[in-house]
Amino acid sequence: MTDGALQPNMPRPTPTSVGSTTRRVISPSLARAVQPYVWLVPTVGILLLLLFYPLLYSLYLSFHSWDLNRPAEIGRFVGLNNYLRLLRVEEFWESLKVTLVWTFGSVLAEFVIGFGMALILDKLVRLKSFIRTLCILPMLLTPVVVALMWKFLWAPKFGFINYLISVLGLAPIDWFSQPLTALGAVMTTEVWHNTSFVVLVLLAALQALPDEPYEAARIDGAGKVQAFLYITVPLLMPAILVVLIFRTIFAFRAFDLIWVLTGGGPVNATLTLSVYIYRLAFRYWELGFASALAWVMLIISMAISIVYLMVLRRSD
Amino acid sequence: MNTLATKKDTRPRGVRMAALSENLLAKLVLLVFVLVTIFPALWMFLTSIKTHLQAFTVPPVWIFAPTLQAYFNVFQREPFARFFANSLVIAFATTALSLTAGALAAYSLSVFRFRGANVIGFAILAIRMMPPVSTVVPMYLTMKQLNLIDTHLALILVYTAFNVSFATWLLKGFIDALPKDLVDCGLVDGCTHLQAFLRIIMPLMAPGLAATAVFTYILSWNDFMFAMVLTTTQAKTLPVVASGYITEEGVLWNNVGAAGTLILLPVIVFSLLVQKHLVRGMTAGAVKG
Repeated sequence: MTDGALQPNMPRPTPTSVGSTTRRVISPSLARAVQPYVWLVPTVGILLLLLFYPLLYSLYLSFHSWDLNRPAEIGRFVGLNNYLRLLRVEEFWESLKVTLVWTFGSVLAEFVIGFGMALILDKLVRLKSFIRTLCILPMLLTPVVVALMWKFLWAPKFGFINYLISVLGLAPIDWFSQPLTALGAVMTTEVWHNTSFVVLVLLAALQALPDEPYEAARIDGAGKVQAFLYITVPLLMPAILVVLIFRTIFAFRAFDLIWVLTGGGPVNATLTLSVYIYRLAFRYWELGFASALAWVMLIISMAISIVYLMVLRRSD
Repeated sequence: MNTLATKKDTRPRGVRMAALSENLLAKLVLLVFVLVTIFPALWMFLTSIKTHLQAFTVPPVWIFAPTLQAYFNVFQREPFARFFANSLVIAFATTALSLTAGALAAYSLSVFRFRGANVIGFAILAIRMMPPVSTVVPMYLTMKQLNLIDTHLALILVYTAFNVSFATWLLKGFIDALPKDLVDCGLVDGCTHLQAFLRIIMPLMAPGLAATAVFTYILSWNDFMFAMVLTTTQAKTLPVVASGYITEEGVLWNNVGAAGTLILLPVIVFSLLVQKHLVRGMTAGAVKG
């Protein structure tokens, strides 16, 4: 039966040109099924090779001794030693604390200021596109340059901020020499850098709100505060959540600003996790130990991201 | 009756006054917002056209004869032009690669209805959630082993890896916004998906491509950490150059201002060119419709 003649359910060979000796090996239906994946190969390939593989390599490093100060030990398997050492090192706990204060502090400030401004600026309907243009600029500026701009402003002797302070009759502050003021100054810079993003997103969301609920509320005699709490806030929830989680994820990993402004000091007052990892790896050259810390940071970051993605999917 | 005349505001006087003062407050807040947003960059620019003595003067000098001395210094101090070119080339290559890979992936996720589209889309987004600092050490070792330290290629590869997810996500959003029948019509007329992609979708996506390109370009232009780690002298990019100013004794702030201004100019120009689409891309996730 199967002597080469076409049977009804056999995949048909694609017609080939006269004289051609090649024959399609892949059936059309298989080609169709595979096609979506073929289109994804460049992106997925790049991600697997250049992100996923380094992550695994990093995990590998974290279980080995890889201290460039002790070349003889490089590559020796040490199990969980790097991780256990983390728990014993005081700098780790300090940096964890700083990272938490930094992340939640800046995000809270950005949110409160940004939300407040969005609510107030919502009234200016005709200036809408000017405001949006203005908002998009600060967050796109090169962080290193932002840090330099602000380092100049915070400079103790000739910085503009101390000049303003002295005009008000107060004593100028050496911002980066004391732990509290250093953290405050760096956080202020970060808030300046990112609040406009909050304004941008929340303003757009506010302007997309429908009028009807407010009309109904007005007719029912509801006051402004009530309208805000029971209409505005619930309707804005998706935007608020996007903003909060987005900012949290990016504040958590901030590096450029802090590195250029303070390098992690004074006395580790601004030593967030990423600054600590960088310092361990490229100042002290303890690559195994740094990799362990990087994985701890990754796990915390994944936890935050899972919350983000869950919330996003729920609001779809 | 002249219907073009503005309607007379017949609200009670108290309500009108309240609305007016609300508007006034809003304009005041806007003024403060504008000033606070613009001032640091403006101050940096003003400093860049001062002499270095003027830059240090307290109280700050407002009226002075501008000079381009700082800009000359910046170019003389080190091969700034070469580093500027490095940033340009690396950002350009990264953008080209990211857009290509991202557009193909976005087309696949958006147009083909296949099992696994959701999972793969999710995975592409998820892997981008990890902090870049987690890959810095293995990247450094790998590039060292491949002898790619201080080359353009190293940074291009790294930046593409970090941008391709975002590019895919952004472009998918833009493709999703197009009418669903477009590709189907093309297929019925006998073109392949590749032709539909090149001749139907891509032309319509021009604004989306432009916005994604600018985003990717800026992200690549701005990166500091990987540039610090993976370059030494030849392939240095601008953020690394800028950071180098602060480790010296007696920083010459007018020079810093000049360098900073030069680094920020492309970012500002590009952002302003496509700002409408950038805004749309940024707010899409939060605002429905």
